[in-house]
Amino acid sequence: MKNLHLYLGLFSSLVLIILISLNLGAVDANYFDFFSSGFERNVLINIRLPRIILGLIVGLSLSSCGAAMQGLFRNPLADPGLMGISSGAAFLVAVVIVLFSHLLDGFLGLYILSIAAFSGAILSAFIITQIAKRHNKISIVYVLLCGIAINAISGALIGLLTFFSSDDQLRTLTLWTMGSLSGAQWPMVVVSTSLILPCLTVLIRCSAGLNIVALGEESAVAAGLNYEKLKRRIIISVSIAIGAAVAVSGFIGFIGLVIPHLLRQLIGSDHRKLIPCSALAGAVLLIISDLFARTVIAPAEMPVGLITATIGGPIFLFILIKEFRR
Amino acid sequence: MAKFLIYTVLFLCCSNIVSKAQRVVAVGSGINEIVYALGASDKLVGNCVSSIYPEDAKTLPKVGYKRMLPSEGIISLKPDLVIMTDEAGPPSVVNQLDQLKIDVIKLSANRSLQNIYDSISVIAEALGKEKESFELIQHLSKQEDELKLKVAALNDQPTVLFILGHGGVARVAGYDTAADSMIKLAGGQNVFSEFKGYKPVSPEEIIKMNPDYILATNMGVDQQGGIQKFSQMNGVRDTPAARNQNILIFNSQYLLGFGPRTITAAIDLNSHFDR
Repeated sequence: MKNLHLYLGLFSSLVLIILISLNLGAVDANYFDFFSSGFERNVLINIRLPRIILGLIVGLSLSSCGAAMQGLFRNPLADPGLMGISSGAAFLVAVVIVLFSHLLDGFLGLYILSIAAFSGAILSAFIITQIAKRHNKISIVYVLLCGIAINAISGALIGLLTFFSSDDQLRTLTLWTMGSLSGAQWPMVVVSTSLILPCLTVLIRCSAGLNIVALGEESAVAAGLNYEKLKRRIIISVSIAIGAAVAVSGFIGFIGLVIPHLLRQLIGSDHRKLIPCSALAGAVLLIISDLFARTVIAPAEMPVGLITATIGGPIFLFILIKEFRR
Repeated sequence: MAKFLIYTVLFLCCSNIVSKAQRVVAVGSGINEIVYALGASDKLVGNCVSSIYPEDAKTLPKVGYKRMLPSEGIISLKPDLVIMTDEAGPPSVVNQLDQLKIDVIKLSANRSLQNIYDSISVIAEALGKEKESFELIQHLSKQEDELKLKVAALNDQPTVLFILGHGGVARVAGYDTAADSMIKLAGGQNVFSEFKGYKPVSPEEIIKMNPDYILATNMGVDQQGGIQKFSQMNGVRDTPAARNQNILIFNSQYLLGFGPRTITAAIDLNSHFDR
């Protein structure tokens, strides 16, 4: 069975990269320290492991959502950013940082930005689908156009907020948008996992439907597909999963765009394979990128979003050139 | 008896040293400078990217930018104390340091002389440098008296415009900025007191403000293409400051760092004002 090989390969590379990541870091600690009782064990369990698991979850979410969106929009350019979800998140984060900065201190400060990002993502997805809905039917074209409009509006409002912000607030906001898995803690991991995994399951169950959608909207309906239900389920799952990912890690670009694109070249566009494989490959890529982010300039750290963009951008360009010249 | 006394004194000294931090990470240029000024740099095991004074500080391991601290990076230096300002972040990383039972001192990032004195006392106590801190504070307050005399000797408050040239568009300092505090300390008057923070303004606005002096940092002037280009910028060109060549350029951390060198910098700036 060919598919089994594929999944086994991806899954074992995921396990391998997790094991390698667990062994590397600024502190000289490896997995044998799990059995020790010293400070290395503490570093492994409370700092390195939650961070790797968070990378895994966020990677799963970003690339599976990317694959599902590209399938739904029948457009290889679609990624969660295009639908305005992440810019809605960024807007609410900017509102909190600039207008409610007193909330950033104290206990609430640990979670307030995540809450703001998640609410922003869900809110903008809700607004977009409400606008794009007519006679109880969601128009995919209007979802896309409204997404672009929401992107533009959020961009402008964030610009306005940054104008009124202090230097400190501006820097906090800029760093947030760069995306980072730093400071991952178990509560965040648990909450984001419990939001993302169910969504991922829904997306995988929608994948057969997406294969029919690929033939065109009319043929999909003719084939007896409940297209409205499919759209609704995908949009809701993607909004929740992306909202949760952005909430814990900020903007991590290109994974949602590049991974599904790359895999489509390698394994074809059967969504039943594409979505789970994208999820696994996205997790692998994000964990590798984060490994770079936290070790290359140790003891300092880079925002992982910068790394995925610098790796992802050129790869994407390369795929495009190859595709076009074929 | 003498032996007993010696042992007691030795014991007290030792217990004192043991209870004080031995491996310290300083986050923030002001904090780093204070540790150096207290002669406690041998206890530093790391500082942040902006800790570049004195020259020695550049060679220490860097834990990155104060708002983007890496938890594992800091822990890898095995500190028993991390000193930071309340601007440091992200909150989750500071929280992780707490969880790992690493002592964290959070000082106010307030830009006032009183805060510099307070920070010196707190840091000195944590590092067991009370004597040095007493001397340093005494030295600084003498300088402060000197500064006050010089400020009082000015005929009238000169008007000063601060231009932050870093990163593309030049912005000017309103209130609640390090530049505003420095101008006031030196006895000047910030021309833009109606808005907060650093904002871009139109050339017309700059001309209207008619500043006697224009203040800038070396980094900012370099990024605008050197002093020649800087003084020919729209708006700047037509101010009394540019006409009389009263454009004052300082090292950015010396001028805006708010640490042990701040009073010296204020005296320095004051000495450029016409009397």
